[in-house]
Order: sequence, then C-alpha cells, then structure tokens
Amino acid sequence: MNIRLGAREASVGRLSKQRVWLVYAVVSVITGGSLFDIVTDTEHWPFSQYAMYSWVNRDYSLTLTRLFGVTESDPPREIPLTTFPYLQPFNSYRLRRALNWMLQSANREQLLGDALRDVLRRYEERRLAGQHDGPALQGVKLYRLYWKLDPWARNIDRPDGKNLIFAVTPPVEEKR
Amino acid sequence: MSLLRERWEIFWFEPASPVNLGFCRILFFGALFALYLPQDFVAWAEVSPVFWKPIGLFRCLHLPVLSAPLLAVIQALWKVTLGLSCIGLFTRLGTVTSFILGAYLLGLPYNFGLLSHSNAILVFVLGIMALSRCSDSWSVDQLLRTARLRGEPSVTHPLMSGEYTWPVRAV
Repeated sequence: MNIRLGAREASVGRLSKQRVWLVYAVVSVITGGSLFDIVTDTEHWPFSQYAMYSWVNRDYSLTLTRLFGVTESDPPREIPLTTFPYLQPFNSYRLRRALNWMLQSANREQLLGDALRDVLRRYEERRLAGQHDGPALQGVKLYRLYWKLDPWARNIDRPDGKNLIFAVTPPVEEKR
Repeated sequence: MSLLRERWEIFWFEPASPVNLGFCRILFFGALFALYLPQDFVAWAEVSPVFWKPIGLFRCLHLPVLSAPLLAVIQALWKVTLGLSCIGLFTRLGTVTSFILGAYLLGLPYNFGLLSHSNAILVFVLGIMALSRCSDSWSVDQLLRTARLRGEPSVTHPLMSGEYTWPVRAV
C-alpha cells in the first residue's frame, strides 16, 4: 500500500524500540525455524521443510497398506475401509501412515491389535449411531497391496498383489 | 549499508493507514471461522492411546489429548474467539486466545501418526495477528472507542504507523 507522507507526516505514530525488536524476534523465529527444518530436512510442526514430492520413485509400481472390514453377511465380504465416515477422525492417508509406523515397531503385534480393534470399535459405534451407512463388521484386516502401474490406471481396483499382514475380530462378549 | 538499513526499515515499518490491516483481519478470521465452524476435534479424544505419537511441540510442553468434554469447550471457545476477532470485538483477548487454542487444536491431529504442513501457516498468522494492532480500523472496538472518546482525533483518525505495515509484510 503506497503511503504519501506530506501534510500528515507530523501525525505518524512511531514504534517504540521494544516493539521493533519484538517484530524482528517474531520474524526471526518463523524464518529461523523454517530454515532449520529445510537445512536438516526434518519437520517440527508448525515449522516444516515442505518436502512435498521431493523424492523420486524409480520403481514403476505402488505398494501401500489398506484396511478391509469383514462383514457379518453369509458368506462374509471384505470391504475397503477408506472413506472418512468409516474412519473418522482419521482419513485414509493418516491412518495408513499411523499403521505403517506400528508395522516398523518391535512390538508391532500388540500395537496393531490394539489399533485395529480401535478402528473396528469406532466404526461400529458410528454405524449404530447412524453416522454412516456401512455394513456391520465382524472383523478388520490389514493388507499390503501392490500394483504395477498402468498409464491409464486400468487396474486400480485389481491390485497385482495382496498380502494379509494382520487381522482382528472383536471378543466374543462384544458380539452379544 | 545505511541505504540498505533504511530500505529494510521502510519495508517493515513504512507508516500506513490501519484500514488495510483491519480489512485483512476481517478476511482472515472470517475465512477461518467459516472453514472450522463445522469441524469437530472432539473425536480425537475418543481415539485409542495406541495411536498417540506426540510431535515436538506437544512433547516439549507435555500437552495431552484433553478429555472429550474439555475439548468440546475449548473448540467452542476457539470458534467464538475467531468470530469475535473477525468483527473486532474484544480483539486483543480474542486474537491471543484464538492463537493459543488454535495452535493446540490445529496441531492435535498431527499427534496421531501423520505430520503435515498444510495448516501451519494458519498458526503463524494467528500469532502475528495476536501481536498486531488489527482492531484500530474496521472493528467494533474502534466504534466503541470512537463513541467513548468522541472528538479525540487520535481515535477518530488513527495515526499512520508502521504498526499497520509489519503484520501485512510478515504474512
């Protein structure tokens, strides 16, 4: 915004020295924190290195983990649990990252069991409260899916590999 | 060197009217209010602790996931302060409170497995606005000051000041 100083030059409000240093301190913290993360390639929220897509995937394939719910129907079906109403407050990507972290832990069996049972519990609570229209589930399974990339994504619904990593069903008492 | 310093100081503190900053306040807090009014953070209180992986800020300050009732109160308070900051009523209190509560609420989801930068800038802008004099124009506070101190020129015509430049530059 261009400001013309002229007749009103005498009526300019000036900042105190302390105020000026406060401003510089704020700007320094924001800039310094961001620069630190950029240089070290780390993330300390709210500062970030803004990694975005700064890595190259040289393998022409995609591997990711995905949750499937096992329905109570006869025969049971497996439905992907990827939509927000099923997983709230998680979204598919956040939950997948959380589960991937658990997969790399020493006590992954304990962690995954607790996590998947929690996903199932919240799914069922929200279903019974009418907050989504998904089917009743008797269990949850975690798979690792693999695709060879197709330029037109024609195989998006048919992964080339599907390996079961972990599965949970609720305790018998909860089913009554 | 003195020319560089002079240009640096002009960049940050060139005297300006409060109108632009006041308008920015309305836009920023109005947009935040509209965006986050339907958002519910309470559900994070019901997630199993197995997912809890605190980020640096929460770990350093030992900030926990608050209980569902307390989260409900805090998110309601945050949304109210966003609205008050938008219209410029009790602006200092509103902007400071919205910064503190906003940093907690906006950062909370990142303690559950995924760290991202998508809303970090909102925290920075909330902090900048909390320190700024963004209620000196286009605000209910200014109208009340004008009514209370009728005829006082510094109230009816606020001074041009660098106070209204640096927040805009910083953002």
